[in-house]
Amino acid sequence: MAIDAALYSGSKCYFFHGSQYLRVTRGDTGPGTVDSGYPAPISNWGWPGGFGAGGIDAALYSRSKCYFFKGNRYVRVTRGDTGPGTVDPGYPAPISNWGWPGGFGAAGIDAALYSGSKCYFFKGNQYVRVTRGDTGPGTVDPGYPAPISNWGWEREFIRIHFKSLLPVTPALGQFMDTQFTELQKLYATVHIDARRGSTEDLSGDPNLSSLIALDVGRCLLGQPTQEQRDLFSHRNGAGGNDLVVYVVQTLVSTNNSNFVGCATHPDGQPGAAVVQNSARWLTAHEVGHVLGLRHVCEFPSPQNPSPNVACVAGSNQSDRLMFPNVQWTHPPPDIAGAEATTMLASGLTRPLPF
Amino acid sequence: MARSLTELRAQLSEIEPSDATFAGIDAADVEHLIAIMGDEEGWLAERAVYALSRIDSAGARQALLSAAEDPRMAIRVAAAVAAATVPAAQSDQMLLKLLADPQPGVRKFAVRAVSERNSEAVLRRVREISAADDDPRLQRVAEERISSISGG
Repeated sequence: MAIDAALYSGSKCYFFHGSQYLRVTRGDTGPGTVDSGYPAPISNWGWPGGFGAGGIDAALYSRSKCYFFKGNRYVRVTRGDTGPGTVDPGYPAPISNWGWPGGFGAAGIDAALYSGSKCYFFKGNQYVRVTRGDTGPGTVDPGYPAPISNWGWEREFIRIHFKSLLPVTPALGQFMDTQFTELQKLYATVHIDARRGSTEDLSGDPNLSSLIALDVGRCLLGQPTQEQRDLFSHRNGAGGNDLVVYVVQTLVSTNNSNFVGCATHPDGQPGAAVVQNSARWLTAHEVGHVLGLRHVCEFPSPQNPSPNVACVAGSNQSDRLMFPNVQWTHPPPDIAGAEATTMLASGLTRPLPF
Repeated sequence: MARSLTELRAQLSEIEPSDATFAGIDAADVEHLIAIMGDEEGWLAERAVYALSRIDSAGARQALLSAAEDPRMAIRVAAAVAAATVPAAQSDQMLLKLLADPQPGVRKFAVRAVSERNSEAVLRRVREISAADDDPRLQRVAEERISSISGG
């Protein structure tokens, strides 16, 4: 059941749903106790002209007064701590009387909130902040209405599954837990909620046994090897936009070397492969690649002595998640604002309903 | 010039290494690389093997021989890959061990390291894998390798 509005009022709280309301004796941090005789009809309060009898949109505590909103009108009530109080003369009145900028809220509001010297009123995806007047409309602060999204509540999520070609021993389980937890904490800082999917032990599959040493070619995005195609086709339990992290023994490169992680994956089968290691943000780094991030710098080589952005010893490049070396400095590593934008724009991050 | 063990570890710690990862590493670093081969971080120990495979020195070659018998699978995989880069006689010595490795992942990369320069004994072992290995994927890799070597 949803509620339409809620109201703090000293020792009591009120919750409104349709034509009914509950009165609750407050618990400071818990649910409190519903008083006997509730739910009860809002009409019991006897507001003028039957105002609010069918339900209200919002309610606002404001010290000696309370405000109740329905449609384009509101009533102001001189509070009674535990009872209905008294509707002040002249109410109901139009919300438009408050003269909010651009006619904000004139047709109605969704919610209202008391917060000390300020009140907040919400409508659609916008809100106004008001410097309170105890009994009057107060003053809308400059810069309002503003989008609710400014508060950074909007979050996206990704779901990550682990599939291991190594037997899932307690130590390997701990490795996967640590990798996921560090990723989850880091991604939360950029409003991405990482959710843990399934964990599957593929070590008993004889068809996959030689992939425990996985040929990743040059690990170039968009260019998976046949072995990566074979392994990444195993997506039991993973949805189309879910990411799968495959844990293998070693990642062998055609440049006569080994990788610690590789984010190359076939189209439509997003994921990465990693080896067991003590680099706590390796999976976060590789999933960063899958979400569209590139390294913050490259090390100069004989073949490429002047990369576009060279890694410079002693710089703060090594503070960043996408530094291309596991020796991060000042951990946990950082995700820059532009990188967060890239990750959130990835089709693999999905909006969380709120 | 030899670098310190700490410097060498840092240089080898790239997540997705390139040729730059191994730039400047030479015979003077062999002792430290052998020490890193014993590192508890398997991927770093493995990378030391790849670094050693880029060094033309007796010490490096000896270390690669020992890598082919290392108890850690990833080290043996690196030795298998490195077997393609060492002189033919040493390659034969390493591959005869690695082609009989109990781990199919090691055998797979050992098969891939085989070329025309290897001995008949090595080529025979690849043919045996193509005919009767427990791992069908590895059988296919061996078939392809034999076909490639014989120009088929």
